[in-house]
Amino acid sequence: MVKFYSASDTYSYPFPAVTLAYFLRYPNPYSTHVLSTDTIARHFDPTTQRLTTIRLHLKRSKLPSAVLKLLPRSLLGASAAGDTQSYILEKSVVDMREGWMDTESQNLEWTGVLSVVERQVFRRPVSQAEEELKMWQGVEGAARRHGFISFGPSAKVEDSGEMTEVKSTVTLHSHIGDKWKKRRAADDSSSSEDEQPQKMGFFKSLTTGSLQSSIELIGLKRARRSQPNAKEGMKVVLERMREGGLVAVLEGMRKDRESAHGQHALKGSGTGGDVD
Amino acid sequence: MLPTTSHSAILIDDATALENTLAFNFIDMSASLAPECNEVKEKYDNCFLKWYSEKFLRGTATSDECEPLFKQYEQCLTKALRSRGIDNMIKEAREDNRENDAEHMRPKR
Repeated sequence: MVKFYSASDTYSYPFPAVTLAYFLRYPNPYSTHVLSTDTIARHFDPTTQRLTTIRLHLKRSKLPSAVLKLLPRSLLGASAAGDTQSYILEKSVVDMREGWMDTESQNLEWTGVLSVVERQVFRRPVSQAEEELKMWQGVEGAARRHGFISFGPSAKVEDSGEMTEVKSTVTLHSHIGDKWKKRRAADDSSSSEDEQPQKMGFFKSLTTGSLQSSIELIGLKRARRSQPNAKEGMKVVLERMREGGLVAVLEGMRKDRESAHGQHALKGSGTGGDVD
Repeated sequence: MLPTTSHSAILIDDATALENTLAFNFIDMSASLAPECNEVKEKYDNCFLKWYSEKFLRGTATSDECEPLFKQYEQCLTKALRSRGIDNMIKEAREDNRENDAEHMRPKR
């Protein structure tokens, strides 16, 4: 079973700014749970003008209490309180020529319990003017060939506007229980008690499928809740860019980082903890 | 010419201001997960931002000019990832991805 969340949106900022904001989106006031960001691989292809980046984010997270109740203690181990740090792997490709940026983020740990993959595609909209021009050029060509009319050089491609379209998809998939099923089938005779979840009785009352489904549903609710924050965070960075260019963005980041550290010291733990 | 040039000019034309900022100190950006890599990471990040906004976004990039700095940063980071035992986890995830990438990392027009 798999669950999906998907949304389409528009940023009222030009495409290049949005791609830069994506790289600069942490820290921002909505991302105080993001502890670090590292670039682990980067490749630029001069022929296609495409840039591929792989980054690793470390986020402070808390397992939702609803999930905690569903999980056996043996699985939780040391983090029984549900406080964890989680690594998020993010891959992005930017194509300036074609005007798109494709991103994908996923959690690296706990993937058996719940794997969360978030995809975002940012796109420079094909402008109305551009479309019209193509059509007109076709008309013009035909008209010329037929000797009717000729268009002056005044028909030109206008700015595609200060807009960027974004489509987000979150895919949630739980594999919980799959291993236990396999293990039980494999060594039915031997008793491996420490490997078995303690609340086996409870698990029997839920089918593996419904347990997976419950966990996916919890993840889905969380993803829905965190999406607006992710967007607000991007907007803050974009707004800083509009106001004062890169320097303002970087100055803002410095302040966010300071206040995030302050908050951390006070509260000890942050807000949400999903892939964005 | 790329239709994006006019857009990028808006945010990039204070490149001079950026250079000034770069000149007097390291910009405090996102931290590295390994504090010992922070310094080299910042050097690389600054280089990347400059290249990205001045060259890449304008469609005039011919090579990744920050690669030498990246190599230094990578060297530091690789050690840190290994000592934290997350290098294998990343490798596995990237291998899994590679299989899906061919079909995935390409938007459908």
